Amino acid sequence: MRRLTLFAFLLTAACTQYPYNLPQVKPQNLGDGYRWATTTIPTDDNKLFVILTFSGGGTRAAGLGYEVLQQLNATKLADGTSLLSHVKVISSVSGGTFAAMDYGLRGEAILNAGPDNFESAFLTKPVQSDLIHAVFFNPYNWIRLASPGFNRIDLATELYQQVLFGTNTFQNLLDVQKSAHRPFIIANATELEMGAQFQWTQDQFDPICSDMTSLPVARAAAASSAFPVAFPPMVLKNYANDPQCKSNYAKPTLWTDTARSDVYTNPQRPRQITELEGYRDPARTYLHLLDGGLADNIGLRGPYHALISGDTFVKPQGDADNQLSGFTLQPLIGFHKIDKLLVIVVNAGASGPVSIDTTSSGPGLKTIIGGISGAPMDNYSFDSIQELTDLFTARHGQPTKYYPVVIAFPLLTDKDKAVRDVVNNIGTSFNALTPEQLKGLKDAADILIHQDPCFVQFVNDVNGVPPSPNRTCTFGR
Amino acid sequence: MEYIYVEFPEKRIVLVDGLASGNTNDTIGVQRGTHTITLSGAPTTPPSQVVTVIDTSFPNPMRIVFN
Repeated sequence: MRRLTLFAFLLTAACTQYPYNLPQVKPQNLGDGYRWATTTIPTDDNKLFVILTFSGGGTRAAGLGYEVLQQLNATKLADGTSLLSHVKVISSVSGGTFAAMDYGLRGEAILNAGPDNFESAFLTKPVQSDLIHAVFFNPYNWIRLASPGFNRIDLATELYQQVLFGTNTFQNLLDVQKSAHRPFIIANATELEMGAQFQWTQDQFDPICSDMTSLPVARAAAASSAFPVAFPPMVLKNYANDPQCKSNYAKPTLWTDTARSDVYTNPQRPRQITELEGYRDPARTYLHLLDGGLADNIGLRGPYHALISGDTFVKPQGDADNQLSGFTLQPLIGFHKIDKLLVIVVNAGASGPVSIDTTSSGPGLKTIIGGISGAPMDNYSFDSIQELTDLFTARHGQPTKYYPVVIAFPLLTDKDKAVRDVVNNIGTSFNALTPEQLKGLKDAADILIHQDPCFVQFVNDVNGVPPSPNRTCTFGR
Repeated sequence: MEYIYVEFPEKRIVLVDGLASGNTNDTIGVQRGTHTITLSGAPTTPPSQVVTVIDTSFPNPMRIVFN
């Protein structure tokens, strides 16, 4: 009997199938699901509108994002509110997603001492060694991992649930957004077939006819941080052409019809049509997701697109004066709902000591893979920031005032060399941070945010303080 | 980033590719490229306009006239 029980147990483990995302069985409705239109934000008071982007970079990125949240919480405005309470959107990648998603779920509790504190719940936990242990030293997982329906990214999802996110789903995330007016959290992954950014929102799941409401938020964090080779891609089912699909997805025909001809005037628009139509391709019955950093390592691309474009994957619904739409800020800006818009790009990219060029011998495979995947990410990050500052420069003098802020370690001057050395030497992993590293990230966030002239001017403008002639927010003007 | 200014005798909502994006007789930011412009409310002449918006600026938007 005991042998039979053991056999049944092993057989069950060997047939493990991580549950797929579900099909959409209701008609498409922009009033349902975790998406921009269902949050309270489009109709909230948006005079002050703060967007944060959190980059990848393991616990270094999670820690820097967390410390920036702390700084914003400590920044009090003249009306008594904290600057943090005006954060409307956090777009995140990889390690940054852990801080963003946890803040979305638990709010200011993650910043305070107590059981929900992010530092004790995640930053000081040996998540990476826990994961290695789960993969290599747990016989039960060996059997499960032998199943074609269960792999390391699924195991990572389970671990992130145990460590940080619990069983919270995107429905829970939406519920707390509505009740506590929290930010709209956009966790970004990369869809492998087309190399396109994949945002974990219902607007992105609509074209694949899937309901993401019941998916665990840990799933998004796992996909967002699925670094190539270390993790296999996360597999989603694409129900766009599946008989189970009942959504009657309405393609946004107006812009997709006209933008097709913009191949010379604005090639990004035809490219977006290709991505959208790609999700509807009958040959694509699955999607494979990897680390969001492959498409955009600082998480800025989504918010930037929302600032410049009304093109989204969903067709607007409702009357013109009470419309639901995909994630775009075009209506809020066009109807003059935003007085001041602050974008803080939190880039935890680090430059450690020279390693490859200290010797004539070639680097190992791991270093080469890191270089191949890391260099394009970093180069794209610079371009994204340049596009943002160019945009804000061009919008100077308009009714909405724009303030770009970049938090990045290279901006630490020689005066702060000790801090810079500490943070630059934190590896990209999910290892626990040491007290020295935690302090380094805290000091770096404090220094970088308060030395930024645009941040200082934003706070001064909000509080009615005249700008300092020595520290004006000019960003290229 | 490009800009349009939709002229119309009264205040109406301007829909850019079906998205409510601002009001008539005001400057509205749009993405560079080709867009379908319509107005909310009673029918207009013409009912819609397809325009390619390039090389504009906030002080010099593309002017689009409806009646």
